[in-house]
Amino acid sequence: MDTFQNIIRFAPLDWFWLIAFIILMIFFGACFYRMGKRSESDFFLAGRGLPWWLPASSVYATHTATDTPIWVAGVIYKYGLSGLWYAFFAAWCAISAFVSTRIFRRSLAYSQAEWQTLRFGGLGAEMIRGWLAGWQVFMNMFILGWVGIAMGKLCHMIFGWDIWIGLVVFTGIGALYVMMSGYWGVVMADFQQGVIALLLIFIVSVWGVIAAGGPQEIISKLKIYNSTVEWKIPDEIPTGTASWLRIRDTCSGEVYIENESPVLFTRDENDADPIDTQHLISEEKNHSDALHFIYPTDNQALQIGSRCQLIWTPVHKGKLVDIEFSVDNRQSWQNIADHHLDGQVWRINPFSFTGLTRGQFPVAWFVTMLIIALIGGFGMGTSIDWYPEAQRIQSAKSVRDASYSIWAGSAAVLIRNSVWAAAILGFFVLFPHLTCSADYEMGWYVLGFTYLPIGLVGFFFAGILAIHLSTVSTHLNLGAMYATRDFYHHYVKPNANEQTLVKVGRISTFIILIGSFIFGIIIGEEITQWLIFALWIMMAGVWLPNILQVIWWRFNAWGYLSAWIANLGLSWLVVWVLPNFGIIPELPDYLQFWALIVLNALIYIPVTLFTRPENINHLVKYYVMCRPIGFWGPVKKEVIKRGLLTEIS
Amino acid sequence: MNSILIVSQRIGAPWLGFVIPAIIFLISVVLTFVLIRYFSKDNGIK
Repeated sequence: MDTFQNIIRFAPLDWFWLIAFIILMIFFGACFYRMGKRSESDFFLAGRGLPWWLPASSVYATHTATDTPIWVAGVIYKYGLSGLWYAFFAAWCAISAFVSTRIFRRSLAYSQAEWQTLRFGGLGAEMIRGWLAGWQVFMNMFILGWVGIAMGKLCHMIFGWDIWIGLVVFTGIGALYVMMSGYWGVVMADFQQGVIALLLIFIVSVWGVIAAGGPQEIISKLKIYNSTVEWKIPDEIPTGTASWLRIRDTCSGEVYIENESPVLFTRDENDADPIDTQHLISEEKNHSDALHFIYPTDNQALQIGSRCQLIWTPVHKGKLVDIEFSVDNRQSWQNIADHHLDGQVWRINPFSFTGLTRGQFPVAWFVTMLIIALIGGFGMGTSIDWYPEAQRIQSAKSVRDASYSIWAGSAAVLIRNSVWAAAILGFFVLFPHLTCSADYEMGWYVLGFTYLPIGLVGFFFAGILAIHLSTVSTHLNLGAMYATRDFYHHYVKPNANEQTLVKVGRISTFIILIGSFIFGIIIGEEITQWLIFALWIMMAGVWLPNILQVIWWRFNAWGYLSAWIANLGLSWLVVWVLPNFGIIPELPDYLQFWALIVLNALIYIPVTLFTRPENINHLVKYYVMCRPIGFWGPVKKEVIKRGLLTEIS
Repeated sequence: MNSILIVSQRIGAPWLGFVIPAIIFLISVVLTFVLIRYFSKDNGIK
């Protein structure tokens, strides 16, 4: 990250706008104090009376955090427009808006944990509720720590502050109005912050595209830039080793380029040849008719363990190639990457596949993402985003408002990503040589702080704060809701009055705030890896059970509970333990997903079938209330038999 | 790793730095008061 040493200083006009917007945001959130304090329902669901556009803006604002432009920039810089598919899983909301959202809203449960006791019965349901409530309190603290660290990194980049200052100060500001106004403050401030954030994202992204020369210029440059691929030189290579490089056609095996003399590896940074690869990538004078390596060329020294860009002349053949190196005088070859032969133009193609299962953008990965997006909407909790969405769904004044809010909020999220993508393509054109993810992930922020005029820089930071506050306020209130409704109210004091519940809500908010600081400071820079593990892999094994619980009457509490328990163990085995012992290879993420789906199913399907179905009276009550879709035949028959619903033919 | 010093290369007229935030601030203020008024009234809060 220290690659970008920012010497921007805030002018008085910048400080003016920054302070003005901070005051406005806190004031607006705090204004709803009198509404938030009335009841548990007000503190956590704004009284269930919101028109669709308020939860919709909250969906959008919650899912736009300070880390969001960081990871979006990371995937777009590395993968071009095909990186947009990384965020496409959010499209599960498009289906969910008309399926699981409506079912959940009809249930009137505050939280997903509470819904589990409506769907399932008995001891199993109570165990699930307790587990989900505890897990959600933990996850919200964790996410808050992650988002806070992102803010800390950003403040370090801009102001040079220690990371903990950005973590603590701004999350603390958000906690002020959340503790005062609860969900009323959250959702109202989200609307205001969402509007500011949306406008800011458009403005900064447009500025970034203009800085790169405009859309046509970006496309022209991508067409003429030299070809590159990132190479992490293995750590275990002995110093002084000579290496040959070659590029050959993936299908035919034809060798397009092979250097005649080797490059050399060295451990000593001082012996490695310093090269300005930024100009090597962008300068057209390096082109010729013949394919050849521009960097590294013969006898150049590369540092072992470093990341470098291999650069070669662009030839527009539309081919996929294997890029390989040999350290045994060309007796055998090891793969560096499966990649595109021709220049950088593949970056503007969102379908620039690198093979069926190979390379950085395989078809198999894309199909997995599509399935997750399209099928996931039939379930509840198939994505970690479901849990804050569930709160927004219940805060809507009707089933229809809930439905529209989820659809609209997610549509805004996907459109936002596209705007960022355009800006990051511009950033790539300006800085095509970056190999360290910590550098290129900050691309969108670098564009804003470098190119915006005085006054807009201050507004930019205010917008970043808006983005940050909208996310932290949601997770503070959401975690507090699980602690209050699903722990305190359900298990500790079921007959607590509304004022007590609001007070417990405020105390819970504070505890979660402190917990997030501890998580953020302890885990620090490694938090991203842990969070990706928690959100992706630990959810993978329960993805299908989260769908089955909605669409299949026979799926019971024990099946669902066993899925969660099994997934906790299996995810560690598949991702860490077995590959470390060499029992299975390290699998790409989409294969980990499918492996966990299958392995988990081998456990929870037999558990489901060998344990009794849920009590029919419980299922009938649930069916009449929520009217689920899917495989509910026996329950539906019973419901009609009891005269509770009429069959419509 | 190359170390790059980012120097401000501001694009656009200086008055944009006042006008654009001012417009957005005004929109935010108006929205703020409209929403406070509407929802307070809707919830019987004076």
